Amino acid sequence: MHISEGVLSPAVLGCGAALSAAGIFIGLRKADYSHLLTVAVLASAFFTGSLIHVPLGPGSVHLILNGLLGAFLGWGVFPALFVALLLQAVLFQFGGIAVLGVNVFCMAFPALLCHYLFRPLLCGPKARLTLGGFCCGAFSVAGAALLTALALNFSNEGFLASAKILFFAHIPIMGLEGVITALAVSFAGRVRPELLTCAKSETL
Amino acid sequence: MKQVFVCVAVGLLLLCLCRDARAHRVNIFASVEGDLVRVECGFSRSQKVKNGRIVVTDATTGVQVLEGLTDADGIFSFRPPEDIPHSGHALIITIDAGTGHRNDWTISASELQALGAASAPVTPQPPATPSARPTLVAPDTTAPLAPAGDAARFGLSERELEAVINRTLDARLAPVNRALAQLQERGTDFRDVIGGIGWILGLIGLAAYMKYRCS
Repeated sequence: MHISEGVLSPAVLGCGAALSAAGIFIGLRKADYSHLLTVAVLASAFFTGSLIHVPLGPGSVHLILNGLLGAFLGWGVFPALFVALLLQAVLFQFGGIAVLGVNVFCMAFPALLCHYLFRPLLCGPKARLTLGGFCCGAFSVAGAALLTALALNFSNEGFLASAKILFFAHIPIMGLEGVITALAVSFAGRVRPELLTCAKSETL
Repeated sequence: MKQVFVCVAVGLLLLCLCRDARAHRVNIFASVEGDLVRVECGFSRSQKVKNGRIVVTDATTGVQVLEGLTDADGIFSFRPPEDIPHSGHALIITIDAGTGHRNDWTISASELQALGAASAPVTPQPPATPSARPTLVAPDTTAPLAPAGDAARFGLSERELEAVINRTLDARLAPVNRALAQLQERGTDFRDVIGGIGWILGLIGLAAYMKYRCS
């Protein structure tokens, strides 16, 4: 899911950087500073999540956990992913600095979209909450695969080819992340419901 | 709240201890072996890039020299065009493993010059035949000052001798090159993970402090 340096054209890089900058700006403006520690813990989870590889078929894919961040953070997913991806680029050489904006946007935007799409579920009783968490986790990964393919479309790889590879490679990850997010959300809903979005919806 | 953090902390610890933690970037390593350039590409030590697209370009002119696909072991070997080793240009080898994974490696002009010498036409002659050995270990004092003449005494021109030495050196250095390639694929370190989490917590701490100062 991390696009390497030198693959994308400057126009796509610029576009991604601008969109991510806007997202980070809004995320910081809307930040609920009483939940800073949640942001830190979730950003750390995302940062380490990419190291967990799920061996599958010819290749292996890694956890992304953008849906988990989206479910809890809303717009805050942009700054959280920015920091985590920046550290991944510097420490693990995943992605790169120039391509950081595109990578942030590709992973954060679907998570944000899912956050608002499944908010009615996330605010509901336990069963709906779990379903909302699952959808958030699964569709965020699907969206990230789609956006990455779209970004690659403007490079030498065809959209359909990369979309197919990315989408099919990430199907098990979608299921896995759906379950992880569902568990996390339902657990938080039980012990700390204020961590979830509906309780702090007015701050978003 | 405490339970959540304990759970997350335990989860993170498990993630960190996961032995299968590998970098998800594509690695490339190229070296000159004999008269070929051998390129090795992998996502990790065990997972090689199969059918990855390799593009070789001239570093000075930017002209594409050749391209090809890696085999099942992630290896692609090629013989650079005749003029490259003598032109003094370096070569940039790029691996494109698909879905946005790309990396490159530069083969310097000096390495390629060695290749030029190795690929020089050499008559098939054993490098050190037993019959030639006695003369080697017991050099006579009649012509000690002419190294080129020494080579000529074994029936080899200086250029051929150089090619033979290069070939032997390549064979001997191949394991060293492999070890270097593996070093290039530096895996993800536990320290990096802890350091990264430390950075995140530090930045959040900074944000909290700024907010506190402002309010």
